Amino acid sequence: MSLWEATASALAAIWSNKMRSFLTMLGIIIGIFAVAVLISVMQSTTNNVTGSIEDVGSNIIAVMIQDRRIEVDLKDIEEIAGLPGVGPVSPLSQSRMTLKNGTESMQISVSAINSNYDDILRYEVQSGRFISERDDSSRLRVAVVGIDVAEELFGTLDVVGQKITIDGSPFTIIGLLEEQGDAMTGSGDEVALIPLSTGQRLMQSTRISSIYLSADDAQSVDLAMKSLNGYFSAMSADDENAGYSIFSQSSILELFNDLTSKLTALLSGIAGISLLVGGIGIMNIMLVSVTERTREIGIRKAIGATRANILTQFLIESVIVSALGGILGLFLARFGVGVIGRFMDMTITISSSVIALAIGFSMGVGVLFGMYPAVKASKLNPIEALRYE
Amino acid sequence: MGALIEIKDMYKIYEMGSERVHALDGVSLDIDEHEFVAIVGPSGSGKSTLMNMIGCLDTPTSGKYLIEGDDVSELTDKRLTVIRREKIGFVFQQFNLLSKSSALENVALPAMYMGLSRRERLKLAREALTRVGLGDRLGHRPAELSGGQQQRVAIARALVNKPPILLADEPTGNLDTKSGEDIMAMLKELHAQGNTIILITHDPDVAAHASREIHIRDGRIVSDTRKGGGGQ
Repeated sequence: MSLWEATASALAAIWSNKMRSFLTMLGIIIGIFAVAVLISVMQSTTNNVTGSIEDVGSNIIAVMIQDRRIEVDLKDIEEIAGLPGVGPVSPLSQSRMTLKNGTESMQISVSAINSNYDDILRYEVQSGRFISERDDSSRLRVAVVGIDVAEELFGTLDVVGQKITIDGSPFTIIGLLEEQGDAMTGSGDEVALIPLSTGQRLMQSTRISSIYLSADDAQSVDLAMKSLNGYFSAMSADDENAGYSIFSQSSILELFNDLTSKLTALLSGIAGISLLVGGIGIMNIMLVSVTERTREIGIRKAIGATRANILTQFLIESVIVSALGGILGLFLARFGVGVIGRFMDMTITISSSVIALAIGFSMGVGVLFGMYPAVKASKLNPIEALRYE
Repeated sequence: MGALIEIKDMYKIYEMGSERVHALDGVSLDIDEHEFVAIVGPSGSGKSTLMNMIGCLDTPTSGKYLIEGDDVSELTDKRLTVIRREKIGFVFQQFNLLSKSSALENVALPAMYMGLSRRERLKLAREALTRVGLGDRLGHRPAELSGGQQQRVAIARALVNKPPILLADEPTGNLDTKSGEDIMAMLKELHAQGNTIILITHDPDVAAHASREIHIRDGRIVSDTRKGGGGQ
């Protein structure tokens, strides 16, 4: 009996018991659906975020200061700018504030930065201008906004020269940023930038908690990281806990990839439990099927089927039930990621590796959980099996 | 060359709790090629046990069993299976056809386990079904056939691998008189064509069709008679 024929006869057996076969598959369908959707969503998110991190530019370095004892002031910023390998530097202070135009208002995180910020993050204005050194030194109440802010507050992109209030203080919009698309932290267009000095007054704090800078070029990133580490470790108050973190694009990517792969593993593990449950369901039904077909097994053995023949027959049946479940689960997952993609406003695809993994896994479950019933069938004594009513 | 089947001093002992039951109690028996033998006995006489032994479905506790000179009394399960499919064609009282398969597929089954291609085995199955007069019922399922027809399908299945031995266990037991006679006539005809037939029955009328009657009781052969004109 060729494998193809065994498959055909297994399909016939499955078809002759449609409802039961479907219910048997259900566990696998749900399991594969869950695994495929989770992995696909994670993969697509990762690709998206990785892409947007890469878009930002490969020279960018961020310093986050967690320890309040490390006090960074503008003099430090100047010194940092002079370190080897370091290019333009901008401090960044962020705070959630309320932006208002008459009755239209929105709450967003406002960034207080200096005039280097656009060079570091490669921002371009589509109209107006970016924040200048003079804006900063004169503490002017000017703001550069993203298109989402313009749309939300004014319903138009023609906003340069318009007045808004930020936490009650009047500001003039001097520039509108180019569209950024989605970034790591939500929409890249929902931004408002104000001069650092203005921001510090508004936030009533001179604390600088993060610094963005660019290395001179892609080759200088390591050198710049090293200089920064040297600079901040000298400021660090605590030997055990540095109190600051320095990220380059690649270290952020590494961190992110590490995080997502752990998360993916965790989530697939949870989804894998449903595969286990599905497998037990298959084993259960196959055992029932073996009992029901005891007589058939007896006949087959009497007329010349070997143990291996019987084993193969039942094993193929369980593998096919399971693989069909896997394929149905994948179809369902395709539909599922479409819906989720619409919600998350991104294109989620099921990669070929996920398809291979899903089909491989479901077949593996079929083999694993079909083995015991199949062995049981193959070991039946033909005399007793023929006597079975 | 010796007999087709040689059984020497065969014992089959079952342990039933503390009791030892001698289902076969020293049976010795030769059956030649082209014989038509009936093994006759009441239920509990050991005839079914003997059939299981001859059919290689079971192994004896002691004693020898040779088919065509090969000792099969101590073979493994796998070797016994191979002997069954090559040397023995079974006909059962309950027909034992696969209910979801057509007559043709049922008959082709032993040839499938022989490893023949689908084409070859369907050809052989068609021939065998034609031989038992069911050439026009190939696609019918067992439930769509009468009892007599089902038993003929079973006979075709027993013949498909062209085994040297045809082993029929109460082949008329589930049939009405008319169908039973048809089946016996067919077995006689197969015998006339040169097949070796071993018939297991409790019914003396059925046994009367055979050319040799072996009576068994309490696991022992009590008589072995060849009838004139029978045997070859």
